[in-house]
Amino acid sequence: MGSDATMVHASAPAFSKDSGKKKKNIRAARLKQCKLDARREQWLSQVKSKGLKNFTYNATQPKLPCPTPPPSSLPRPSDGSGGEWEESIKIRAKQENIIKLEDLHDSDTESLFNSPSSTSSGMNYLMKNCLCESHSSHSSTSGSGSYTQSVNEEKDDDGDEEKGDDDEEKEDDDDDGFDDWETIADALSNANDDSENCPKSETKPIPFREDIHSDLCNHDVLKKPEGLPRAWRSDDAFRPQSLPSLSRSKHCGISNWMNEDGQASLCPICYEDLDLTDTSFLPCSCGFHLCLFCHKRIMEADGRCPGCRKLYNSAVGGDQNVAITATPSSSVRFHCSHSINPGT
Amino acid sequence: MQSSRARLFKEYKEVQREKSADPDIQLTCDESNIFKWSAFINGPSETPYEGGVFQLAFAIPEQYPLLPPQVRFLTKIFHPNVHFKTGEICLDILKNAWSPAWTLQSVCRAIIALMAHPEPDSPLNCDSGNLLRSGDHRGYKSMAKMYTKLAAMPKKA
Repeated sequence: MGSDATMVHASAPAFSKDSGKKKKNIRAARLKQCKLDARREQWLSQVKSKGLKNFTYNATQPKLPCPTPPPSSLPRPSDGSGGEWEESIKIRAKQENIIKLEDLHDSDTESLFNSPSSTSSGMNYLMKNCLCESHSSHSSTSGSGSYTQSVNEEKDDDGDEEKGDDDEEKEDDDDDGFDDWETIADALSNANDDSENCPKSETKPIPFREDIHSDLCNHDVLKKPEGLPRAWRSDDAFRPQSLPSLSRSKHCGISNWMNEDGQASLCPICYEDLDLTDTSFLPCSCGFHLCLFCHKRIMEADGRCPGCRKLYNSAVGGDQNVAITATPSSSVRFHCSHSINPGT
Repeated sequence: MQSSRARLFKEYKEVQREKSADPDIQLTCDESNIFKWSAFINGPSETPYEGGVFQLAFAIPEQYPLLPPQVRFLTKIFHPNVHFKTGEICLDILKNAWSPAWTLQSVCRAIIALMAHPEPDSPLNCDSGNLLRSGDHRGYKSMAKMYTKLAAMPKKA
């Protein structure tokens, strides 16, 4: 976020009302960014109704008789600087409250017209746009094109301080209106539903957001019937089909060399497990697997492959067989010498 | 010695596990000697041996499975490839065609197949072989059926 430095910077001069209004406006704009950061964090972290109510406090408390909790219960972000932060916001809010609320409506309608699907858009779309807006104004990553443009213009306007006080104030409030996406959401609902009645509808967005949240929760419940942080089970009906289905035998490393069909590779002669060396050991072209011990015993006896009953050495591709049989034995020898050396 | 014992133990477990897999074969091991096995096999259907239960005796060498088990019929059977008196079986897989990949269970299956498809050209029972080689299938069948009834059928039936 990087808001700590600017916040401390901005909050101290906000106390002194003697400083020039232009400077104040610039710093207030910075402060708004910090505030927005904090609010966004809050919004992300606690989405319960209690948290939601508190979000609207700063903008509405001084003017509107809304059932908002006292400022003491305001949940503060972890990086907020306590009383300074809150007080400066209070002061600023008092100063700009009236204009803000009016301008919010203006900006809302503007944004409504800017947005391509404004006529048919419901509250959800506006909320989304506001979220995008707040996001793009900070990190300037992306978002709806018209919104980012308007934000940039406003920032440019903020940048040059040659304009009149009224203008600046208005833009500042405009900016605030854009940044304060919570308030925008509230005001938009007002603009949509009952275009003028502010105080009544101020309480409306709160249950509305709760609905959204509960909807999300319901979706979660639909997706995962248990509702617990549990991994998908293979027999889960809602398990995404894109997930690979791993059989249990493939998870344990010992049986990695099992056959594709999942059955353990046993030496068909002695019924002992085949290890990796044994499975890679193909003494006969017929593909008959057996362990090295049994192969040695067979070679000492009649020397025929148990699979095709052909003599091992006279089987097809004798050179190849010799090479294959030589590889494991040499590796075994190497192993032995290697293990002996550290001991001595 | 040890490997053959281990292998026979594994085969025993396998037999116990898949007892119902092949109802025509009941393979059991001598309780005191794992190198002595016996089996009861049902005569294959549509043969003169149908309805008979034939007992086999397995004598397993210590070099097993490198060497084949010695199998003979304890039940009298009239078959060109089975010695009528000793019950010795002339079967290639029990002689030179043996493979260590075979098991006692698969040997039983091979013997059942041999009962259904006699090989008169390498007879141990010359009378039976001569009947088949001369084309007297009816004579062979009636003789085999008679001995099945005499020796392999339960007394009550």
